[in-house]
Amino acid sequence: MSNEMKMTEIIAELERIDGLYERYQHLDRQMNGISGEKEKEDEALGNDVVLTLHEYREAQDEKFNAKKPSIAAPCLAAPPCAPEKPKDITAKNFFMASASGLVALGSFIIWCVLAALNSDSILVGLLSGLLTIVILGAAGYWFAVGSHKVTAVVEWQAKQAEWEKQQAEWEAAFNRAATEQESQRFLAECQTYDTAFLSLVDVCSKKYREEFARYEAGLEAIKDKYLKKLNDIHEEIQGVLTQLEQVTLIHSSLIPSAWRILNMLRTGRADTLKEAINLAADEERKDAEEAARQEEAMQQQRLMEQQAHDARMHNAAMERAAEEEARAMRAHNAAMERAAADQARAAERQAREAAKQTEMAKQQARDAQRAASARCARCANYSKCSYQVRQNAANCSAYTPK
Amino acid sequence: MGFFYSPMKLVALLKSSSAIANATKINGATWYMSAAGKDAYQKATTPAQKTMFFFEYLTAISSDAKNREVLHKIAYVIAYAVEGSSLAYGSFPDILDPDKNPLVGYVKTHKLTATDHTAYGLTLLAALHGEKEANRYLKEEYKPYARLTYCEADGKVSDLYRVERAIISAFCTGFKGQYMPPYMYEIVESANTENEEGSKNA
Repeated sequence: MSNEMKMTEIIAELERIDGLYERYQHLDRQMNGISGEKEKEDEALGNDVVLTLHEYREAQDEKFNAKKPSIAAPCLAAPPCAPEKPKDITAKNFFMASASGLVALGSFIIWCVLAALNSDSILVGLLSGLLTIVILGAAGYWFAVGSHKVTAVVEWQAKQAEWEKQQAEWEAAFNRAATEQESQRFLAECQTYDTAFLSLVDVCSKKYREEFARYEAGLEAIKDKYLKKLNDIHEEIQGVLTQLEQVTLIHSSLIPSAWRILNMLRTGRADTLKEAINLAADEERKDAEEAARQEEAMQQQRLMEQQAHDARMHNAAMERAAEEEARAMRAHNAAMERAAADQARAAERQAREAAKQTEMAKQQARDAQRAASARCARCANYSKCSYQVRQNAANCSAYTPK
Repeated sequence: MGFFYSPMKLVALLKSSSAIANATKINGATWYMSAAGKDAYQKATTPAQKTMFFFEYLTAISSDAKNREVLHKIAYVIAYAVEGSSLAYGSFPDILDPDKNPLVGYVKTHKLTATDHTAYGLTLLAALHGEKEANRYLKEEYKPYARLTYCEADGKVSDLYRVERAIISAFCTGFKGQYMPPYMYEIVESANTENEEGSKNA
């Protein structure tokens, strides 16, 4: 009887513990809900402030009408590109180059004069020989080196003259634009722009400070609004936790399993508290294992579904590819058939054309023969000619009109 | 290529051999620092001549001389705002010294291969202010406008102001909006930065 009484007390205590624990969980959920609501209100307030600031900025931007400072366009236009200078030109080698051309030409003229004299003098002969050597040397240098340098310089001079004209125009335009007045205008534009921009920054910063103050005040109001509720719940939670801490019947780690232990005792599956705790722990482990198994099975199921989906997609893609290939093949065959039919029609048309040509040629031959016979009949010598000659009237050259 | 020239033409070329040799000589970077370079610098009196002098010098020291537009704009900024100013590198020869004039130093040390001129403008401003982060001149959250020099209360403008505004107006014109870098201001971001800086200072 005393054992039964004791068991009744244990069950009553376990019911109380379970009730306290449920209450604790309920309060905890309530507290989380209230915190979530507060966070949402905080966020909504923040978004409202940001939106207000952006709208304010847009309105300010519309009012901002300062002209962007600009430099006169000719000052920013790059100068014309100068022609590339010929390389390796020094006073000495260019003198040699020009001189070689002149020497070769001069020597050649003198040599021609001497040759024209046709003198038997030894002096003239020696001079001619010497000039020949000079001509060969100077001309060799001229053709190998001198003419290249002279040509490069002459071409560069031509391009340089053109560039100098363009450069002079560029400089004139630049100097016209880069005046002191222009500089003053540019700096004045800069100052106007700076002033307008800094004013915009000032008014926007002021607006921001106002909005930030509103934001902070709003946060404070929201905090006050929820603080009382949270404090009440918090106090109640503390009370429940104090009662749970005072529990001596079971270890504090077993409090969440109190309902299981209670169930074991109520249904008679355990006779003592210790046995009920062990059974509850065992059941909890099994439940955990079952939950893990179910989770694994669900994962497997998801994996298989994904694989099946992938396979279906792959097959569908393969089918589409095969279908497209078949369609392409059919289109190709149809094109080939059309081409063959076109070719056959073209060949037939050509054959008909050839037959028509042949018929026309025959007709022309017949017409020619008829005309020749008629002409032969009108000939004065008709009666004198033999039958064979008359048959060959087309080639007859002895036609004499009657 | 021609092999045949009139004797008169050859005589004329012969006479002007020295002048031609001088005219076809390509001046290296060191020439501009020499007495002949100084002479050329002093002879350049008009804005166009000054710009051309700096343009040719920048072309000589740059590894990307083909980017003529950018080199010309930098030469213009130097000729317009740096030359003759009270800046430490405002006169010859410091104006040509890459270690003293940050704009010349920029041309010597940077590749000029980008097509976006705004990027050049911002990096030039960074170089001018002795900073490495050109991003700070583009992103609103860094309040780039705060890094610029502004005119004084009496309306006077400093030499640095002229250089900055010439760079901005020459390079940072690609933006379609009303504001151009580094005039960038975003009300929320900028204010957040203000708060962060304020809390750091506190």
